[in-house]
Amino acid sequence: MNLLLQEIIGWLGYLQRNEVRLQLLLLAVVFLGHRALRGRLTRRFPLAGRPEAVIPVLLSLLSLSLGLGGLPYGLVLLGLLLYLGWLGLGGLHLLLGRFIQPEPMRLLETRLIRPAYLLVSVLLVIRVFDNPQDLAIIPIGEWFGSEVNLGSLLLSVVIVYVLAMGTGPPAQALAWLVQRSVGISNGSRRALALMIRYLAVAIGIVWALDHVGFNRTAILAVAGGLSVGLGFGIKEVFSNFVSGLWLLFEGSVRPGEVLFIDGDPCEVLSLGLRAAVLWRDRDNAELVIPNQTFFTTTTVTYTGSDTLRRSQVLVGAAYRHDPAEVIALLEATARRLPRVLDKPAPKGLLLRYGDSSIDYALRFWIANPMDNVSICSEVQAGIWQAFRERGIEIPFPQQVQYRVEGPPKG
Amino acid sequence: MVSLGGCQTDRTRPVLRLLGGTLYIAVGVSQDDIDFELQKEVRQRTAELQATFRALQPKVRLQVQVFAEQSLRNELRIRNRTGLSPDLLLVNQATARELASDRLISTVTVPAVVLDQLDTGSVQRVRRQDGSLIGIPVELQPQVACFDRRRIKRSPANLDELLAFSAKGMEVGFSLDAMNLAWTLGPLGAINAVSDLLAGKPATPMTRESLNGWLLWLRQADGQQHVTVFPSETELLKALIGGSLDWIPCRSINITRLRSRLGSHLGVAALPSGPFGEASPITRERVLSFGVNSSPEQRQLALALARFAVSPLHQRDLVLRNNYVLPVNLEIAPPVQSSSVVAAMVEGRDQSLRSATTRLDQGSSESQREGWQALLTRYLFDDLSQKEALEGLISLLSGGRQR
Repeated sequence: MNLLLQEIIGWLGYLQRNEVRLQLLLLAVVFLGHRALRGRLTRRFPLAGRPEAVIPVLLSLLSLSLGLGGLPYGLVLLGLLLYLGWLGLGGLHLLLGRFIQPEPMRLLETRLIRPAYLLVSVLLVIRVFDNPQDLAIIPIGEWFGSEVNLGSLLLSVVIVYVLAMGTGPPAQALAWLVQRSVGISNGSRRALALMIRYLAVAIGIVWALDHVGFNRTAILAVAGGLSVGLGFGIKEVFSNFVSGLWLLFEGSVRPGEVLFIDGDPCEVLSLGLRAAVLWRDRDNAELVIPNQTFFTTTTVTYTGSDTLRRSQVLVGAAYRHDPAEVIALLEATARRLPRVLDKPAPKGLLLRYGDSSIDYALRFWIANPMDNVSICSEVQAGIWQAFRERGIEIPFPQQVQYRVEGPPKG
Repeated sequence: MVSLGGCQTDRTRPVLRLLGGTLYIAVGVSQDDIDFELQKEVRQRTAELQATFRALQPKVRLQVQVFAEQSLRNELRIRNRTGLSPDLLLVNQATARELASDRLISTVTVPAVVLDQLDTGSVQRVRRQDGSLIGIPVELQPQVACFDRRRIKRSPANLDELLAFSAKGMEVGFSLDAMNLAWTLGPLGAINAVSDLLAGKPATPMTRESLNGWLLWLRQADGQQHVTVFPSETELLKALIGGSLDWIPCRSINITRLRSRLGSHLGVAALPSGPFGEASPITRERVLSFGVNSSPEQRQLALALARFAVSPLHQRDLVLRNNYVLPVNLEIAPPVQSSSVVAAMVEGRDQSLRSATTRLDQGSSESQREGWQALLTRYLFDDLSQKEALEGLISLLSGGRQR
């Protein structure tokens, strides 16, 4: 580690050279000075207010001038290239934005594209000040009985990071291909994509450990010790992780599944290493539920074998109406609604003779369990309309209040 | 152009003034040889040089960067444009010559009093027509035979013995790299043929006959069960350390690495002779060349360091520290009586001076040397017939005259 620090501090020695100092000074003037001058110059020269035009032009002119003067100009040129590259990221954003949704695009940019650009820029700067290959083999310590060097560690971290962050779209594409060829459900496709991702990251980690040169026996020994620690210290985390993997394989809690949580249907958005994220339609809330909850408690799902849900609304009709007529009307009303499935057919039932009405139930099937509330609303509104047209009364208990004058007579 | 010595002004007497700052030194090594071990050795040697040089210039700091010699030209093109070129380059003499012809390094003038101390042949090879130097020769790295004493008592004295030992089970390794295989040209009578072709002379029947004999011997050797060819010397070193080889030709500088692993089991001897004469190894001459972007103070420091590097003090240090290189300073006599390794190195250097292999080093281009290796690889893998290999070799070496 000291060697690395010495090497980096050693770069300061280049400041002994006037040509290097001059180039760095020019870069600082262009990048910092344009802001100061922008306000004054913009009124007379509108283009001066646009750094994306001013900076490249200034740096190009300075490079050219230095080159013509027989002076080194590479650092100014490097500054220009890096700035143009940064501007190019904006163009890339516009280009990819045509094909990718805003949220995935944001993730792609913040997690992959910009970090990759930053890494390339740093390597380019190191490339001119030092020899990256030379730096790569600087040892930074002895871990797990092996001497680890900077290059292999950095490469391993980058590979694992790229696998963790960048395997999402390829994994989804692969899962989509499997779905197209084998015909698995959407939930299975999402689960498969997640498992492909986990697999890629796991292989990446194993490769990284191997590439760095960790002693496998030492890793096994550490893993043994860690397992004891896991048993006591972070068993909840580990339990959630194992539960998550188990649930994925089992298929009961997969992204896209609809579960009943506290009486509300919720859609599983993602199944993470620690917790599952569910979306509740009722109030647009996201529920973060530890994986082991699903592992140890009963789970009600509407998407286990199919996505159909049988729903029901209750209604009362006055005693004077013929129950057969009411039941037929209820069934006809449900059949008219587009989001109620024809098969299985809606079924009207006489439930009981209540205090002020005969109580009926209308049972019908819907395709998407998450639409239950809105379809029930449509059905009930349809019943009210149909009863009104046919003169069927929906009775309700009435309360008569009497005012008592004075205290009761004894 | 810069001046190394002289007593005219205070500015040109760096050894008398205390200078300070960082001095960047680029060390060129073969692309195939770059690994952590080598980097460690290079840093170790630089640290030693810094420690002794600080006796003269206490405020100096040396920062070393290791590059493949093959890529140095591109590296310097980039670095010279940024103003970040190294102050000094420790490279092979042939590389320094190429860099100088591309004006990627500065030439120097050195006072006769300094040059008179140095090996005349080495100085001659770095001198330009205008009298300036492309660098200052600092050390010689001859080629010798390295072997594992646990497996063989002594190194074979000639090529027949080499094959005989191999037939009895001695594992022999060769590198097909032109610089490493050149030692076989002399014993097999092909050295003059190669030298003539590189010099632009036409191929005569005798040239063909001698090259044909050399190729035949290579195939015969390769056909032996216990002879293995490798792409680079690094592979040979690893195999000798790992115990899968018992005898290899090796560059003297690599003895450090072998010694650290094999200890007293490492044997070092001169390379075997043959029916046509002695071995014809190439002694690598390392020179210190000067970068083009140094500040005045860095340049003075670089000059001071270069002068220090060829001083008897440091040259003696090179030998005494077991760095396994030979000094270029004539005042330092290598201790051949007390060390068999040094004796083998001196013999290797003398062999290289006697034979015409220096032309192979200086008269061949990088592409020719790469072509040589590719051609021999195809030949030994039976991808080329004897005749095709011969014609290919003649054509390849004849191309040298266009350089």
